[in-house]
Amino acid sequence: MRGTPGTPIRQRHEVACDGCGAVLLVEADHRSTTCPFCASPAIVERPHTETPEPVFVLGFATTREEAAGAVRAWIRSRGVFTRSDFRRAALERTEGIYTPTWLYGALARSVYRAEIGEDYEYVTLDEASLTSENATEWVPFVGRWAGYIQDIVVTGSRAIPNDALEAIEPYPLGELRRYDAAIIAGWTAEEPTLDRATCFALAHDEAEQRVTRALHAFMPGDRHRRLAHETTFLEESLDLVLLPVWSFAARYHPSKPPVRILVNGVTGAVHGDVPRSWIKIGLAVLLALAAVATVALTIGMALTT
Amino acid sequence: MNCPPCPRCTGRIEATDLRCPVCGHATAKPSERAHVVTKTLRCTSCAAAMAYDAAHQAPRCVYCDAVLALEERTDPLETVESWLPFTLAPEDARTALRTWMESLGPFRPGDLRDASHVDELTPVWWVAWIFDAKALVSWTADSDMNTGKADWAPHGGQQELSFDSILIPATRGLTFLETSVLTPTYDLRTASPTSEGPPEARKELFAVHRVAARKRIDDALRFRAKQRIHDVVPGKRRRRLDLSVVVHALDTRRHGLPAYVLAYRYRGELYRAVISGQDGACVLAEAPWSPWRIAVAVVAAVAVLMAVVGLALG
Repeated sequence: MRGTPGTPIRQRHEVACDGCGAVLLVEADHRSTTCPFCASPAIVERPHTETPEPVFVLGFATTREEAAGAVRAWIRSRGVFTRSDFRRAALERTEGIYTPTWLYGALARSVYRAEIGEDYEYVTLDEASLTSENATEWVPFVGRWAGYIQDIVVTGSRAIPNDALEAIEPYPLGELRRYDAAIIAGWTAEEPTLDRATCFALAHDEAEQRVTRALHAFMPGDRHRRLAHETTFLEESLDLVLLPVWSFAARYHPSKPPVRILVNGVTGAVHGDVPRSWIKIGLAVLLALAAVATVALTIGMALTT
Repeated sequence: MNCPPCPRCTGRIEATDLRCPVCGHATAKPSERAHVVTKTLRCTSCAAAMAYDAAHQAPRCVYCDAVLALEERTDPLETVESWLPFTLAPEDARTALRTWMESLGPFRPGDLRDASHVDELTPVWWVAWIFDAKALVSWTADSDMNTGKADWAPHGGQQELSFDSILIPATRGLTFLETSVLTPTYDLRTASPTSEGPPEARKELFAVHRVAARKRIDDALRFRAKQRIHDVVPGKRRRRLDLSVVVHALDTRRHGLPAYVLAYRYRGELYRAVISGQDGACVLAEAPWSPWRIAVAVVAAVAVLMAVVGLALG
């Protein structure tokens, strides 16, 4: 059931503007549009058989100016190996997008096995002197664990890869609102462009990792090794949530593609791939080599004399 | 009030909950729609199209600056759902206090009962949460049972615990000691949505919002689970007890519980007393000591001791 990248899941639609009656052409992956004739921001509502209805939405809490300020501060604070012209990059194509994401939850039940290490001290007597040494006793350990897995968010949009979304997370999920078209009015809102099965698998993987982390913390003893578990997820849920993301295109060189920078629309957290300066990195490597060579030479000369 | 329980953990859901407070399951249900339509949000004062404004975190009209109020993210103050009736009348409470004074033993002033005067008698419903829950608890710990070379050996288990009518005080007027003494005197089956008691009885309010309340209930539940599991771990000594608690079928009720708070005066000094509104035998109060009587007792004890020692030596 995996959708092949590039093929739209849905068709474009012709919809009448409820402000002036003009016919609008709505992109398949857009949940909102602005009428070119009367400038009315409109929300597109499709049958639920065609596209899932968002369950929750988190409204933008940072303005365009605040987001741009956060991006500029972020660009200034990049490391020494960043291309110099990137620091003077122009911010183009700013857009606030309600991005489709999936919120996953489940009850996890695991059977685990591990080896638990308990430390102890033992005393040996050799040639009339007592010495104490530390050792670890390893015991096999099996058991069961159960816990709720909550608040896993994965991308539902082909435009924003999951790791990019993770980089600007967390979103304050305690502030979710029930989906209300009023919150996305006037903004770009995307329909999910990744199919549900793909997102479900993504969320499932993340849940599996969470269980592993929880089990590592759950193990008794001073240390443990060879932890393995088999986990079943029950009562799984996957709900569509629209999360606010500011998207910026930072152009630093006319011949290079602009760098996309994402900003969390609530917390203002920034993420982007910083272009590195290979000249700076090369110089640093040469400098380091030169320093090593000098030190080696000095030591060598000192030893020969 | 009558929401269906959570499908995942079967816990109680309040009407305004978007997600289950225990396990995070979404409660929203989308409605059905047949055609693709567009909708524009119109300003109620000037009919212009409105757009969501990040600075206001609400839709705002760009022409007349009107801001549309969104459905509030609800975190209401907790309110009492049911009250336990007063079965003890104010006069019975006064009698209960006098009876208690008589039962105090010889080291109190002899005229305590007759020279005391009740200045104030306030019937009050104090507030508390009462919850029922089941929990699947997985635990691990180190204990001194079945050890080898090391002092500790790992232990673990999983078991179902059930919690029935656990009371968590939310009151600010009574001390923790007072609430724990009063708690066993109440018959929770007498709870009703209407309050029955003296007309002047005061109703304490929950000064806690729902999100904070749920946190306290959850903490109390985990604390009790840990106490119960502590006794399950084998051996004499244990350390590193760790729990994973899967709460299900959590049902919390908000009760008003009847009590009398009295202030009585004895020789110019004020003393406080708390009496259960359902049991006159449950009196928790301060009372003066009689220094004179204690001194006599001490002198008498010393005299007896000296006499015994004298006899033994002589």
